[in-house]
Amino acid sequence: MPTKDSLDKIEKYKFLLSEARKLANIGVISKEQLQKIYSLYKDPQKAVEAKHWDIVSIIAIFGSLMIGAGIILFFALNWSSIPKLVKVFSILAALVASYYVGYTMKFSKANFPNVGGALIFLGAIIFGAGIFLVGQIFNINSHWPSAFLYWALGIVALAYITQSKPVMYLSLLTAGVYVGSEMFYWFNFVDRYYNISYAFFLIFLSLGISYYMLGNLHEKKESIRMLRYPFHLIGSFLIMLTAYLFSFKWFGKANDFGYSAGAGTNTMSVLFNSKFWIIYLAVTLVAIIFIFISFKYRDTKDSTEFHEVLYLGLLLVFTPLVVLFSKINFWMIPITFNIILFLLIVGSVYLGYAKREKTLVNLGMIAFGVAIFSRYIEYLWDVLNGYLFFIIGGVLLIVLAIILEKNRRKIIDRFTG
Amino acid sequence: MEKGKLFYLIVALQVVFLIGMIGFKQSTVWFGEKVLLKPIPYDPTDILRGDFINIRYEISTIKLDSIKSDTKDFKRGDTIFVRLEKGKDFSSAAEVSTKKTAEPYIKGRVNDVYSKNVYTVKETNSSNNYIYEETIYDYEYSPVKTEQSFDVGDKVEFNEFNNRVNYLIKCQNGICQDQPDIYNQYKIGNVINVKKGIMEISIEYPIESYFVPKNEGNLPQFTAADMLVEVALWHGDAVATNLLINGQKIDFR
Repeated sequence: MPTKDSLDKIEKYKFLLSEARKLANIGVISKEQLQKIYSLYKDPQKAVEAKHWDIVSIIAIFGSLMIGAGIILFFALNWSSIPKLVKVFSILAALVASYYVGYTMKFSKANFPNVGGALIFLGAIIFGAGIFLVGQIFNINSHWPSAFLYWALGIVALAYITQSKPVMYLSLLTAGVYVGSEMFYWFNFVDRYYNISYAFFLIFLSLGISYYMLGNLHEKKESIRMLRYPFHLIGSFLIMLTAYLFSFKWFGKANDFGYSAGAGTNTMSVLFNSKFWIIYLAVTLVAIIFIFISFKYRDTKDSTEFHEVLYLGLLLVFTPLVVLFSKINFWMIPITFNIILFLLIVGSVYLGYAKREKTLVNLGMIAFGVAIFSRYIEYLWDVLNGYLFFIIGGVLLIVLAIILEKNRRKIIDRFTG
Repeated sequence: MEKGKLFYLIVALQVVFLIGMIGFKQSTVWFGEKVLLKPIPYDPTDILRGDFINIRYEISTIKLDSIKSDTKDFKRGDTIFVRLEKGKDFSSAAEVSTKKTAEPYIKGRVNDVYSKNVYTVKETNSSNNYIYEETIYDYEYSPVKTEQSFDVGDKVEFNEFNNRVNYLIKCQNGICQDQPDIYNQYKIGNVINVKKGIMEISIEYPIESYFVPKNEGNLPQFTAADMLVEVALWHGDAVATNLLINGQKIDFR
């Protein structure tokens, strides 16, 4: 955890490096000497951590996202006037060109590191577009979760080599999409359609905890420390998403067939005889393993990580039990998950502060707003007249915004102050 | 290894992977045996790959009683191998198995297992016979038991499309109550044959999507009855290679 002292140091590094760049530009020192100074002082971890999400990076990443979306859309239009071979070669050329220019800008010449990083990210998107182009040319089924698996696996190594957070975000998201759609697919085989159970949401909890714990492990190794952000953010998001989805009162009611949508009809009886649960248990097992490793290598001087491991471990075991045994009283699901969601939000803001990760604070705040607003709509729509609903809702939102802004600023100020 | 080399190694691996995927699929197209299958299409859109026709096939549902198989006990989610045999116009399923069969075969996954009651209905004052298939979902938690019981000789009221009966109901005490209107034309007839408990499986194949150019093709007007799909089969891999209408490949340009 960086202290005030280390933050000062980062500022000094940044100053030194920017001065060196200026000197190189006006020719006082040569490009080689600049590189040497860089290699002597540039602790990429700290330097990049200090500037964090630079505005230039964000603009360039948005640019890459738009180009990537454009490329995917272009190939989705499936112009028959362009021969397939030309399509394949143009996408491969775009892939290599984007990577090459990106790598040159970010590392070889290091003249446009932010734009270079964004172009490497664009390359990672084009790789996905290439997979889907192959799927289109050979009419591979529309249900094709493996495409997202190939995409995630194909780019994860790049994220490590280039220390690229956006590429890591993309990789973790595509892996999440893969797990989700594979799960949904196998869920179809559990029982017939009228037996819809949303129990498969639980897999996102296990996946989120795995990601979060992996994030903690990344913190231990200096060379990959920076990549903990995507793991922490997407992990926390998935954990909260699970709690949020189950927090609706809809889960507390029996459906037409006398079962809760959360529990399904016979969740217990399918426990040991379907691939649905095998996938769920596999991901959960991975989460448990990471929890143990995370526990073993925890920071013993600071209790934060011990508490993380403890509470997330409890959550991992406790949550499926609530869903499995909700037949006793369906209201167990929304009540428990609202409490869990609240604790997660508090925990996320606290951890964001303790670990100095602004993103976690922001996530917690946004989740709080979304949760409050959802409960307001759910419980008060029927009770209030339309106009009252909107006026009270609007006032509530503004008050909420004031509280959030005040506290968020206060908390984030403490990061730097 | 130095960072730059490692980076370009991964880039090269990505390129090799994409080319490899193309090679794998293209070899099926080149070396695979071509068979024609009877489709039942409809068309949605995929956000990442554009418009496609979703296709179910005549071989997508198979009655287990009338086909050679190594087991009758298929479960949902099972992998299944279906051996195809050339017919007059298109290939049909000749054998299903849990293991690889003789070529050409196609690999699929069992989507659903259910039983059917098949009734033959003869229209009154006509020599036309119609088939009615009643699907029986016999699951522990089934909310609806769809089975009605018809016996040979029952007087029934029904409507039909393409010689298949969509709706069939017994006339109570010989009085048929449903009056025809502009939407429904009911026919009256008698059940002349009953076959109960025919096991059927529904299979999902890897060739159920066919991607077409968006708003660009000059597709001839056709009905599903005129359509066939050419499929390349090679060591268990399958690629839908062409759509045929009245025996002609569709040129989307």
